[in-house]
Amino acid sequence: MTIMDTNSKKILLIDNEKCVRDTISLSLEKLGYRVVSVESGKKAIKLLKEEPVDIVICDIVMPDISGMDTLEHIVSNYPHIPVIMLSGLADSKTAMEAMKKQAFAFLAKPVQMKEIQKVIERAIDYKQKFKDQ
Amino acid sequence: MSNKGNNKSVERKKKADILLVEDNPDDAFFIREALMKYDPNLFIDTVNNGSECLEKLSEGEYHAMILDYRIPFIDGISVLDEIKKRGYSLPVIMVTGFGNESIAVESMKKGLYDYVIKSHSYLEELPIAVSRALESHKLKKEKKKLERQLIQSEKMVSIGTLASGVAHEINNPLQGISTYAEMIMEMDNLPAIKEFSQKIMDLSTRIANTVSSLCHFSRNISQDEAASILLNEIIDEAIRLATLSPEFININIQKEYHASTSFKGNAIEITQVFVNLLNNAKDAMNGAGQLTIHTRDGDKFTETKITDTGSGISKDIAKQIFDPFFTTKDPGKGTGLGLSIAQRIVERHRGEIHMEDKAEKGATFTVSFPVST
Repeated sequence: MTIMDTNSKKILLIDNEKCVRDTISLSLEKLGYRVVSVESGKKAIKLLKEEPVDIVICDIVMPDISGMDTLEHIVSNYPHIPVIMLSGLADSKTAMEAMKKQAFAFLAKPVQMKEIQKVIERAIDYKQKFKDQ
Repeated sequence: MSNKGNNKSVERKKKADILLVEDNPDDAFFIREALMKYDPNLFIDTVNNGSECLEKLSEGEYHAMILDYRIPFIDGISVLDEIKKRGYSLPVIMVTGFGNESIAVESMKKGLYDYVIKSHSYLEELPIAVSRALESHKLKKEKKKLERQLIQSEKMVSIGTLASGVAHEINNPLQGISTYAEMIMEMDNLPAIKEFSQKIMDLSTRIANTVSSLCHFSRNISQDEAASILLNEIIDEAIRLATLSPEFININIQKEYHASTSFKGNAIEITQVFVNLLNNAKDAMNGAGQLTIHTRDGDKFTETKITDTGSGISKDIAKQIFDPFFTTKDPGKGTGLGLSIAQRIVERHRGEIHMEDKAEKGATFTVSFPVST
């Protein structure tokens, strides 16, 4: 796998589960990404106002603002940021709903890091194309 | 010889439709003839006394019974009492003599389906009464079957909600476990490997706890119809089950337990009552709000009040909430059976369930059960 310019890519990870935030952010950092993680949609929305991010990975079932609502907010306010949904609810209905709301991808927990990495790389490509247009 | 034996076994296997209890052989003959004339396919068992009648009833399922009031050993009224006591649901038609109308009236109070007075036309009236009784029994049975199917469908919805809750509770720590393991595979730093392994073990324990809380329900809860039930324990169990669903994530549950007496009942069914009420409260609050559960002991009852801070229930709707299939939930979300099943369970335990009228926001459901004496 080529490291390319992943150093400059910043990923926002939103998950209310500490063990998910801890492990995924650590793994992504090892892969060379910069990661900022928050435990709620509310905090994510606040953070997005303050600093730019390249990609969002978002949980679905969370207190306060749900992952689906967070997704809608990001899609309408920051259409250039691909949002990857990562959910413990692995039913097709939830996946369909996320895709209808224009999630970039839907991953069901538990997912292997190489799978997450593949989707992130696709998201980076997509973002590049979005920029070029 | 063998042929004869076969016939016998065929005869024994064929289920009788009607049990005729008549000690007078002539009357029995004429009744049978009148019924067979009416419907040649009817299969009739005949006995000539009350104790034999009860014995026959315990052996097989009849669709209707014709009972002569004057029979040896046990009188007709006592037979009716016994039928009720044993929980048989078959319709009984009593045949009484002239001047016994008061007995007929008393018997009707005891659940008699119909009676025919031995007049000159009774052999014509009886088959009509029997056919009405058979029809009523058939309808009753179909209704029961339908009810069972409905309860099953409600259970499926509950299981669906439970399953998605469990999936969420298990998949999150599994994500942690899987990623820690992936990281360990790339590591050669022993202290860090040990630290991550410990985290994997902790997360595994968390999954085991979720699974055991789920199994606890089916394993430890008594199947006994008359187990001693402590309200607070049952409600805790219901909360544990209901909150497995991620839809409870923004619901704050406040417990105000003051009850301490026990009552007799079926723990699984009572838990189901509270799970249904908790789920309704959650839906009424659109998944966010305060849910207060208050228990207290009265003189002869133990009571629970479940109050939510949801949209409340308007007066027009209040009348219908216990009706089967009545629902205000979105299509696919509710079967409209939760409250009607809860009501049926509570009433079976000789308890009461109702919704309180109140001016403020939200709704309060009160459930009370008579305490064991």
